[in-house]
Amino acid sequence: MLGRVMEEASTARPLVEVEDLRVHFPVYRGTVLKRKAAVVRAVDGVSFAIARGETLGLVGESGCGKSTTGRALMRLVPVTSGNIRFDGEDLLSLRGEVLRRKRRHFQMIFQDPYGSLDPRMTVFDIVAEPLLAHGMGGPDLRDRVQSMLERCGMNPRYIRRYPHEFSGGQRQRVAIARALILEPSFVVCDEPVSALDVSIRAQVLNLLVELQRDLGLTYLFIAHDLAAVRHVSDRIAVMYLGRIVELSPAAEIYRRPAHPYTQALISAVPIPDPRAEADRQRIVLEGDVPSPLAPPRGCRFHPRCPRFASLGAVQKARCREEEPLLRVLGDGRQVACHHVD
Amino acid sequence: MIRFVLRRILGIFPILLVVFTFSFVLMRVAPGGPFDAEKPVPPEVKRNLELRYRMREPWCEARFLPALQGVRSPDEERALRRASPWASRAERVCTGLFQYGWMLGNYVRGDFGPSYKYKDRSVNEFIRAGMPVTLQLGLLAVTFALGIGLVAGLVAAVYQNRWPDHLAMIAALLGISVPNFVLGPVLILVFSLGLLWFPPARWESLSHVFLPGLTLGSAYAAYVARLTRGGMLEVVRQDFIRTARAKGLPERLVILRHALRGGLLPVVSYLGPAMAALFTGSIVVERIFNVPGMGRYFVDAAINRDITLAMAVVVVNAVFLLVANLVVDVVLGILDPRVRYE
Repeated sequence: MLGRVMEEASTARPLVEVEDLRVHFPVYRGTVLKRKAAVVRAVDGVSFAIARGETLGLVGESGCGKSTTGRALMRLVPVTSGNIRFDGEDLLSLRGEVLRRKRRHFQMIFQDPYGSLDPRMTVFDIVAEPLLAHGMGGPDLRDRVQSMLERCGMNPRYIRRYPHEFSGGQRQRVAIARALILEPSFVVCDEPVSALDVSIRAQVLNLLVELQRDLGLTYLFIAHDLAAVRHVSDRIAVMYLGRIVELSPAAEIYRRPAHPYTQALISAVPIPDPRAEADRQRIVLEGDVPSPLAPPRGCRFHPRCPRFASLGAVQKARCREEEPLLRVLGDGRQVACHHVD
Repeated sequence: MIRFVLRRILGIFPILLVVFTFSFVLMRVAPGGPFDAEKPVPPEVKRNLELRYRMREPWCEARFLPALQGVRSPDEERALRRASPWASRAERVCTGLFQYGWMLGNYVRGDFGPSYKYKDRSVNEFIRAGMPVTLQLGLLAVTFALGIGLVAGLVAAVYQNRWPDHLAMIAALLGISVPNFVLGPVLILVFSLGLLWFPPARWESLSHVFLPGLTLGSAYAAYVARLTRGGMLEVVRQDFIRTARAKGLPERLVILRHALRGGLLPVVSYLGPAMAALFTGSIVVERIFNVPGMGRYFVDAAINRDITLAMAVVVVNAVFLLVANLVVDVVLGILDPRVRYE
């Protein structure tokens, strides 16, 4: 199941292993007599592994399940089935106080720095609270909070201020300090820059890369925009409707996208050169993403697939009937499509 | 913060002046006077009463309607006024201005003047007698409202759409819908006449305060419960609650430290006017439990056309409302740094 790259690259065990992860949300109908009317298959059979010190990018459209995957890894949403191993330990079997204590080893940086910080707490309280919650306070608490903030590019003089007094970029720095002060080994970055001004995105991305290098962090880096993850990721997984359709080294996915969906995504990235941009061939997908309440049978992408139309009748039938699994191509790329060689 | 509070305290006085002026004008404009009795008093007596209580100003009469001074009967006065309407109006306005100045001067000195109805007592005496009772009752009612309401709302929010929530919200619906004049007698029946736990009426010891306090506070407790639940549910959906859980905070702290502080904001906003209403008395509860509080004076004063007493009650109510709202604004500032001033 795991990629060949992984097997070759690391003799040690990956830090995070995800196997056939499913997160389904029930939808209830009726006000008095509640009954389960349907299930949203937000994440529907996702497998990957992340090596120590690696950054795995996770991209896909809104609603494809990438944030839910991240939250499931953090044990913030109930997992329907599957396996998550963190540092060899079965994460899904933990609960209550044991889980709470374990949380300091895996942390999450949320997308919206306006909503994810308690508006009624000072920066100091926000950053110090995780330490206190894990009994890691002490006489040098203030110094540790200040040095963490400084490391994240915040002026430590501001620790008595409230989140609303800062810009989005500064708040995200506070959020990063909040997540990293526990010295976690694994961090899920859930679109950490998409709520920020374009002008400061690069700063925050560079900060994250720098911190990863200095602290030896392992990242799952979620984004809806391929350009943002390209420079920070070692490998990139592309999600569509709750499943991974392609998982390849970052450079490869750009140069030779294998899955038709990845090709469409790549073709949508503008090129910062007017002449090349004018020649850019865009693959425009038809229609909307199908509802995760009732994903299409067979290959989930086939109703929108640009390659589907050019296939023969037998091949089309296969797309409609048989769900493609992630296959390892010769060069370390993994792709879930019947018609890629 | 201190400057804000000082500025707000200074701002109370102009508002009080407006309230005072407005209620004074309304009282003067309203038909009928405190000395219009069903069985008329002799005109001389009535005239002397009106002079004593500044309903009549000799200087104004001499200036605008000199003929009035020799008049003996109400019919004569009415005829005279009808004969020269403009002079009559001018005389009334003049008298009104005199009375306004006189009353305002008294108010500034903290003197609400004599009661027009109970001629041997001043309005201050009424307030001094009724206010402590009303304050005690109100304080207990607020305690009930917060104690019961906050806990019920918190439990309802934590167990949203499960049976504790449904139970609390049904109780809240009852608390809001059952009027005081039903709840009071029911409580008396059960706890006084049935279980013999509390006295049914009068105002003597702490146990006398319990039932009226509960009756008065129940509707407020119900509102507080609903507001707490609503406020909490709104906050619990926000991102920083997920952050708090991801931090590894125990669930108890997630609720108490992060969710409750934000969820309390609507409750605090509501408590300002609610406390003002509770501290100015309730006629219904006072009647049922025979409590000698402020509420009945308000109604009696209006019925008796007792101008000074009615105005004093209005102004005291306004003071309570303004102070309560000031306290609320300060507490909101403490709870939510984003609404802090300056």
